[in-house]
Amino acid sequence: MTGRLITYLKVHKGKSLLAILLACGTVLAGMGLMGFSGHLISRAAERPMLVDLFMITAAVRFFGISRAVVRYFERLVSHDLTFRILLHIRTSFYRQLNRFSHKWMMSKKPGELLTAMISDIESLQNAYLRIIAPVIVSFLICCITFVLLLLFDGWLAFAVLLFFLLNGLLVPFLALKRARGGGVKERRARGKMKGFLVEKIQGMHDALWLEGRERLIHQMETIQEQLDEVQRHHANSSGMVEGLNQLLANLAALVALLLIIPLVLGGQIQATMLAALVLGVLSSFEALQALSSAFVHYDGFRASANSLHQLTKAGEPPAGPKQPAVKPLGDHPHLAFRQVSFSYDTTRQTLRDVSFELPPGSRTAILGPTGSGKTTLLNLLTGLWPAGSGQVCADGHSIDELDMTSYRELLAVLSQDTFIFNRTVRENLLMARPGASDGELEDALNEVGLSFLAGKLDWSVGSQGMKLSGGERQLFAMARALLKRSRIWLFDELSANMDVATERKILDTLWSKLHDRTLVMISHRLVDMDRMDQILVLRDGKVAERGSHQTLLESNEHYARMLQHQMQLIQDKV
Amino acid sequence: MSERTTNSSLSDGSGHTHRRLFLHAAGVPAYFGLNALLSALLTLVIIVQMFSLSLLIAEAFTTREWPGQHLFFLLAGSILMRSLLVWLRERFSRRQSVRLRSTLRQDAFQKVLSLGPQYAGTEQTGGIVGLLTEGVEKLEDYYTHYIPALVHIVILPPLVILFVFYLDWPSGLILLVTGPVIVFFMWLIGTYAKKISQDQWESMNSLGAGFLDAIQGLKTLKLLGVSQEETHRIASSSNRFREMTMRMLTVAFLSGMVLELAASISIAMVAVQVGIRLIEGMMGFQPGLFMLLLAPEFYLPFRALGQHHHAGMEGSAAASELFRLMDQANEGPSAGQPPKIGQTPASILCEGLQYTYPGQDEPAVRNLDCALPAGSLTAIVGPTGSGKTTFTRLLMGYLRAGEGQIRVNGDPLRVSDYETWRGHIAYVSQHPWFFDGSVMDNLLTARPGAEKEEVEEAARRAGAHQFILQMSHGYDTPLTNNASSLSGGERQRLAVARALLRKGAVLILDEPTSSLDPETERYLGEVIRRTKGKHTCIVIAHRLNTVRHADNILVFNKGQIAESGSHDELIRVQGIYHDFLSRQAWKYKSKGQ
Repeated sequence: MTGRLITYLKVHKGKSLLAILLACGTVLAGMGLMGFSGHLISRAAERPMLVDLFMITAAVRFFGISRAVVRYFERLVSHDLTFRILLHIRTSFYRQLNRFSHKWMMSKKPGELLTAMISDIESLQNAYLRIIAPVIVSFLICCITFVLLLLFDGWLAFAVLLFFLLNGLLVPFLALKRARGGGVKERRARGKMKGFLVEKIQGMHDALWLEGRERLIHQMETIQEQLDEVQRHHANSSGMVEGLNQLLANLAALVALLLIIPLVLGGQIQATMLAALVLGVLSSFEALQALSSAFVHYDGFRASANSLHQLTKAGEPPAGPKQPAVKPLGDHPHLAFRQVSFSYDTTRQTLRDVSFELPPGSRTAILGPTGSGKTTLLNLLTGLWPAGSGQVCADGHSIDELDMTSYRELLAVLSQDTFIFNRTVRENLLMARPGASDGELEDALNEVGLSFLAGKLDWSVGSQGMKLSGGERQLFAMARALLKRSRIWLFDELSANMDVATERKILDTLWSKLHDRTLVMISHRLVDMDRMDQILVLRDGKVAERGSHQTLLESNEHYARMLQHQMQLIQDKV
Repeated sequence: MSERTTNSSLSDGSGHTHRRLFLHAAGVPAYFGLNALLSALLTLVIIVQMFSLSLLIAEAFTTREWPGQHLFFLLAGSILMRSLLVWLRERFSRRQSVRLRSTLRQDAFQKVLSLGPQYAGTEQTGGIVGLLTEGVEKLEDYYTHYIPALVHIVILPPLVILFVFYLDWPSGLILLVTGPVIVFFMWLIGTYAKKISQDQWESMNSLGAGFLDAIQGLKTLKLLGVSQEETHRIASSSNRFREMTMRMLTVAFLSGMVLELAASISIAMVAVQVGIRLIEGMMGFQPGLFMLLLAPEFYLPFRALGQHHHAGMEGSAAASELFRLMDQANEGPSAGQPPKIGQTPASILCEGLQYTYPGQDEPAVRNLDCALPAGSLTAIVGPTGSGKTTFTRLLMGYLRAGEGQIRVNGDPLRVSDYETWRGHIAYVSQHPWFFDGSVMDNLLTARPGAEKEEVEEAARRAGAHQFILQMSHGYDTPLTNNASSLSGGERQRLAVARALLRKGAVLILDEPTSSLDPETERYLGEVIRRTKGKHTCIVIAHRLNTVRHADNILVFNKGQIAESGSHDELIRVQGIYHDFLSRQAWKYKSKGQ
């Protein structure tokens, strides 16, 4: 962990060095202030001329002011450094996340990821302030104090060094030992609470009637108690550390006093230095205050660092010659499935030996009952999941060999779970066409029948677009697809959640805007099928039937039956 | 958010926030008392320690002889006592801080539950979660250090001043004057920094919510090909956050510096003043040294407060968000009898229901009168945005009607009854949510303790049994991430199974057919017909397929019931319903034949 943190520090070498120097300066100024004050009144007690004290009083004032000023800058520099490190960790983490396959993302809970990103990273940013800096500063102050005391007496220097070591090594060791495992536990408890809250708050409409208030509150209390227990344990450790800090610093001063008195009596040390040395020693221990308490949390830092590391390592794309040979692709490629089989897990084969062609400008409908693999086709076609066996091809190249970002630029995808961000209408739409003018955005909204949003581009659509109704969200996603300048349209259940009139309107818009684009429409409803070039009927992961509306009707198999079912529903009524 | 309080009024209210945080602390007996007692004891021990230390040094310095042994013991004893008290104080405040935060979080969580899904949907989920987790944790230092530091500052300086005045009034005078000056400076800078801190908290919180969005929407970002840009967005928002925080810290730390400076200068003043009087022979060495030793201890609480001042501001900024949440009104009428609801179907009567979403001008539903007799099947149809879903949310108690009331079995439903009421409802929402756990666990939430056979029976009726058995571990297959591995239709059927298991007095289905294929849809229509009479059933459908057998059809239009009656009656009227139906028939015919 420290190794990785130091990597970040290296990026900000100058600032790190400055922060440490300033921190040492603060402690030294404190030692100077107290030491010279002690010296001042000891000298004064000998009743010299006032001018003789001039230098000493000046020193007292100098150290007094510089301690405050140096400390101010030390805090500023070190905090700024912390935030810079934070930014570094955050972006590199998200960048990594971005590289991961969708498959891996699906296996992770967003709550867990959020905990990782925010808490762990924030905890790591503190690692510098709380651990690395105090360790270096303590070490430096320890050396300086030791050398200074050596000038007076060897025994004295070694005795104080002993206390330094006790306070700087033994107390942190005790803290570490007591807190062992606590950091992991606390992290786990926090993660659990966060996961619980994300889930129950996002799904509150179902949590409330299913589980009821009392059960939810009770669950929350149980999770809270786990967190409290760890924190209470921390409280005891912190108390111990603070007490021991206090004890060792004061004992060091007492021992110093015991050692200096004989030296003063023997005349090896000037009597005026007695108070100065004792007070100076007492002040030098200020450097260690931050050190020991940091180690109460060390375990937490390590847990955070480890989990971040594991999270990013686990999601690393499979090693291999993954360097995509960037194949030249036209802006309207010929897509194809060649003997593709796929399964999400080992027990259920979702797609079996599926082959079909999507020539440029063709119109394809993919039909089939729930769970027949329609949406999976889309996931493979967009490269979100890699094909298990067989190939998904664009202009004859397997899409694995393509640069995903530029490949996806060719596609406009409307999936069942299109995400609408809690941002303004404008920001949500600009994702599809960065740099589009307001006029273009408004046109797109008008075309899909969301004209009421056209005048409200700055309006925020709420968490996951919840201020819009289900049908409106679908229309909104359609507007995005229209904005994207792509020659291939992949629409999954475009008209779900829409009433008949809206469905008609949106389909009419679609046909009028389609021109020579390639269209793939996944649906469980048989609407406008006569306008399709080919219809694929999926059953249990296989292409059960394919052909045009007319040929499929004539063959009188699955498709004809589906159509019959649908007609029956209507005829029942009218 | 339109109702979001402006920053200026928040900073005005920060005194109020502190007061509420104090009151919350006072709720724990002995929090203030024990803190004060420990502070007082600590003060006395410090005085003894410094007094004995000064005596020791003075004797060695002036007499050049070994000081008396009893002084060493006194010093060592006071050092031990001091360490012990520090230990106790730290431990006590931390433990209390844990407790105080934990109760605060529970209160806030209960409030979020009371406010319901509507509130959770409009506020960013990440924001609420951040507030309940990191937000509450921001109060750690507030209760562990900030308040104890405040208590300490009230106890130690006055005690020390009294003692110093008794021994040496000129030094006492310096302490007496500088103490309040420091407090004044602190207040001056603190009030300015507070406002900035408020901004910073909000920016940080929205940063957290933005992250959740960015992670959950990563798939969409990838498909749109803008996931790279999102990284830049995160970088720039983090950078903005840094700049903002640094701007605040420049001021916040200034208050710390002023404090340190004032303390250092005051210590220097005491030292120089004592030195001059020593030269003049106006005071002895030991009292002078004692003053010098005591001065840093006198200013220590001020410095400590300066250090924790930042924590205090951060805590109160987070807390003001928290209190804003807690102050959301969600009360309604609570007089009268609770309705009697049992296992048997309930009758529902809506009288003049009206609801307007916050920030909207037009009511989503208005003047809604309808009767849903016990055991009846009511279908609700109407165009998108006509208020159908709002109506079910009102029935669920997720929205509180601005006007009008709902009567269940004759008695009006009060806010306090919703909890029990929901226990008798089976509900399939537009977006069913599944919790982490196995398929079985998820189904069992509807009726804990149900037999395996009952669960399977419900799944079979909903047409979910087959695909559940095909999953890797059948009913024990774990679902994660809102069951994202299931297809739209599978989710819907699982949600129906869950609702059927509840065996509620009321069954509400909101667009149950929206993503089902014709076969399942037809099957489901069967299920609804078969459950007829077992529940009071309310079905919202955009398609007319399932509504044919309804006892009563409510046709919604622009937030009102435009027509109602049975299928045949409505066909005869030739109104909106007829229009709707013929259009659908035409649609399928046009491409069917």
